[in-house]
Amino acid sequence: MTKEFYDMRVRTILTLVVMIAIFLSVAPLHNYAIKMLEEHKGELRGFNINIEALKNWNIYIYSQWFGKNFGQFIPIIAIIFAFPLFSREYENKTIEFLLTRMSRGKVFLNKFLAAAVNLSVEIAILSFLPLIYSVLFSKPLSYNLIWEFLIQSEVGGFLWFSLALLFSVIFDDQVKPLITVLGILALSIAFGFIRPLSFLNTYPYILGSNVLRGLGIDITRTAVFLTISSVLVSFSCALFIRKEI
Amino acid sequence: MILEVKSLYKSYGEKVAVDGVSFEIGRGEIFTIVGRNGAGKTTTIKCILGLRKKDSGEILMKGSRTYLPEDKKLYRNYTVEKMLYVAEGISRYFHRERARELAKKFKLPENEKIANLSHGMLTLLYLSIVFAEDVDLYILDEPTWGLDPVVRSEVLDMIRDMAAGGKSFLITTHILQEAEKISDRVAIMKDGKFLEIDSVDSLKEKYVAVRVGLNEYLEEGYLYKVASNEKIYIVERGKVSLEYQPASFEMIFQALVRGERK
Repeated sequence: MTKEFYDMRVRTILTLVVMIAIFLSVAPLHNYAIKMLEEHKGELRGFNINIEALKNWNIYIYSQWFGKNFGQFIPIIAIIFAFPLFSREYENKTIEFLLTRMSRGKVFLNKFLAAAVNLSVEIAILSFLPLIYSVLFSKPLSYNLIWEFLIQSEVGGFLWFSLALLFSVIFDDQVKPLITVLGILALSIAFGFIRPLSFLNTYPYILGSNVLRGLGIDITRTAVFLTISSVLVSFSCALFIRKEI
Repeated sequence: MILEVKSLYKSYGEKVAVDGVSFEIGRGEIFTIVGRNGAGKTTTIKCILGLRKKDSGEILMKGSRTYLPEDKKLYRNYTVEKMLYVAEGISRYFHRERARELAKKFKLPENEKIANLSHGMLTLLYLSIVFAEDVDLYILDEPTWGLDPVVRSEVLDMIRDMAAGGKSFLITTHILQEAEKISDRVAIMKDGKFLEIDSVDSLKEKYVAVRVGLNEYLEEGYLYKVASNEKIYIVERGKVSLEYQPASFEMIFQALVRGERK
């Protein structure tokens, strides 16, 4: 598994640095953002922005971090972690080196676990950034919501990770799984605008709109997403074990 | 017996890649498959290794094995040293110190990135990894392709020494002199079938070269060459009552894989 962690180091560090940079462009600008919004109150009248609510640090940081900046990148980060896992080995023809020295099940498990753990830890670190920042800068944060956001972020991320993993197993080059999963992500958002198909859009869940409204974790979607992810991972494993190299 | 293959079949749609191949490899034996491109050598090996699914047949592997593929691809962004470190975590039979010794012997720069290695150096690095694995059977697909004659000879000597120590080898090669030099037995492969399996000496004993006129042909033989005033056939000794000469392994191979009668 050392190899897998080593192979992922660039992706892990890069996504972490980018997300921390985004966080630092959001959190310290609370007062400035409110000031800007108040200055342009008249022009923003049609946008239904509750400036008074945003003055509350809790609402500001949760809505701007989980509900916007971090949340919208979760599927992208998950896809970045999963799409090259197998496809890069096929494309570079290094898969033979692995498969003739380890069982296919072990190769799959190593890759899956290393990437899943990496993704999970990165989502956890990024989810706790508001708490760390609030402690450091003495901001009053009710951190009980963080756990709910964290769970939905992890589950939503894992769903997209599992889908990208499947296409990484199927395709023999790195471009096709990336394009395919990004295409599915775009379609899921587009179909989400059609009311009967709105369930296809995973973003309301990942952004934690129900958590922000004080409704707690969406248990049904959590269970459905976990089930779909498990099926996708199991199917990917079965495909990989049968795949001709 | 380290490996036994019985009636192995593999096809890709209409194209039959391996057509009922059977053979076995004993302990300490060097078994070489020779054949032209597309003869089915690599597919046979990949079926044995489980990289490709066989259509039918039986493969009995009794012991551990390792593999040197035709495409010597390793992780381009690793250094030589890093690759050896990673190999230790992947193969339980791998001995890093042994690999480092081999890499040193082959003068591989340990801090050089694999992407910067020449084709020959990459082959040597792969060979260092494979030879540092303590297994029963070494499956080597074109092990010396792209190596200079001096290093090639060193590698062949290493194979012979390891075989003398009880290790078995399944090798494919295009280089007939190489097969002749190191193999205990060779299989000549064409269109997915083994035309012959025997030691090179036995094949040379079995086949002879016969010269006939340009207008004559030998139904029992395989045409090797048409010269300006004669044709040379390779025939089984004793099948024709004509004057014959010894045939080299290369002559036998070429005549058999061409399979031309006229």
